[in-house]
Amino acid sequence: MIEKISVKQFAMLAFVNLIGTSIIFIPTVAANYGEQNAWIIVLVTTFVGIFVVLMYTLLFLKNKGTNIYSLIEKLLGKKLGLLIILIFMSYVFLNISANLWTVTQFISVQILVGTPSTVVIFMNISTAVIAVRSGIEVLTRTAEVFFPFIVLSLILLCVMVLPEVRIENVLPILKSNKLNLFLGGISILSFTFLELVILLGIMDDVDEKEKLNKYFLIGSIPASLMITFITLLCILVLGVEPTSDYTYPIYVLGQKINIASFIQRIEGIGAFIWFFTNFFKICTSLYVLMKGIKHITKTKDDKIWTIPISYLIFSCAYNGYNSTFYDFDHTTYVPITIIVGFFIPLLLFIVSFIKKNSNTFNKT
Amino acid sequence: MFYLGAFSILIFYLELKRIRSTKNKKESYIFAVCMVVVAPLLTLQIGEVIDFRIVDAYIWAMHPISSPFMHLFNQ
Repeated sequence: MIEKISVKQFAMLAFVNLIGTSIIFIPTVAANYGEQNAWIIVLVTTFVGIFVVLMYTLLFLKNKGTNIYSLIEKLLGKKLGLLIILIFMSYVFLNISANLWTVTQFISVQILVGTPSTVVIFMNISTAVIAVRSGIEVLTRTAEVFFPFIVLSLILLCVMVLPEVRIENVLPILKSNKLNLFLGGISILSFTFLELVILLGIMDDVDEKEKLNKYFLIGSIPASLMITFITLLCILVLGVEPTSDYTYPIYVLGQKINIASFIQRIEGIGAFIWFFTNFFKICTSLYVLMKGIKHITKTKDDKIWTIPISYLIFSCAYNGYNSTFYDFDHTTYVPITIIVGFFIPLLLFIVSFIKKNSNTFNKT
Repeated sequence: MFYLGAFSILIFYLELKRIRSTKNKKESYIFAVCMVVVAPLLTLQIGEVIDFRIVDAYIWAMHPISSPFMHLFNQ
């Protein structure tokens, strides 16, 4: 059975994929690099991100909506294609396990203190496996159900924390080290827009592909602007140093909510946003990974891979990042995201352009 | 470790039954081999009998690519 999703559903997936994880870590990363101008870095990254999204959709549409794995093989040949596919898949695998690890750490440290991390990982990965085995249609419909609640929670969080804003925290504007701003921009871009390269794996499941360009932007730009606003709020409410020191500033932001000493301590809103967006991100990535394995092994049923691969992801999320996560984030994850999210699509784009031009030249 | 081992055996049995019902012998063999390799590895890792780290291996493999970036970010 061929499963199809609408462009609106795809836009929602783009939104939740961009918000997931980024909303927790971007304020910290941005404050580390840009201090009081952290929000400006995220805003500039949004504009750069538009070009990244346009590159992805153009690459897909110019090649008649071919699946990313078939496209890589078609453009780069069997051997080099296989190598690039393996690099892409290893990136997707690490993305899933890193996301799972972060959410597990958060639950074990902040919410269910004392609960073994294995239980939390098991619950998360088994739900994701069930979702992926149900298919992309079921997954996107579930995202559709939760989407209004995610947006509502984001709006509520932003509005309710407004009374705690202190303008002096964000001053002076535009007085920062330019190299730091540049490096911060690269880091943020790799945690946000470049991670959307994974969505290239589900673009061939979208109906009305000609509208994909518009809806990809509709999904990703509001998400990035929302992250910019949350970063600004973190700086305005918490200040620069606490924002860069806290691992989960959005959670602390929720703790600051105090309306008439009546509505207090509703930090669960931040956790709710993160859990759901992160869950959909994990599911989408797992689905794309399964598609890749199916493509390489030429098996008819990709469901056979879900359980063994989920065991490996479990293993990585269990102890893979304990001592290396922060090191891994800045030394391995950012470079590999830049390579997979920027250089590989750019290479594919250039090769497809050259091939098309040489074909038209041969015909004339 | 015990619960995970028991769960793995149950999942292995149920999934194998499902694949065999589709009369696809090749895929049931693939699944069986994968599970026989992966499930004991994870179970022993959770029980802290063995310790294998895929992420560390990945970081090591990616070092030639990531080292120029490390220099840039450490400035």
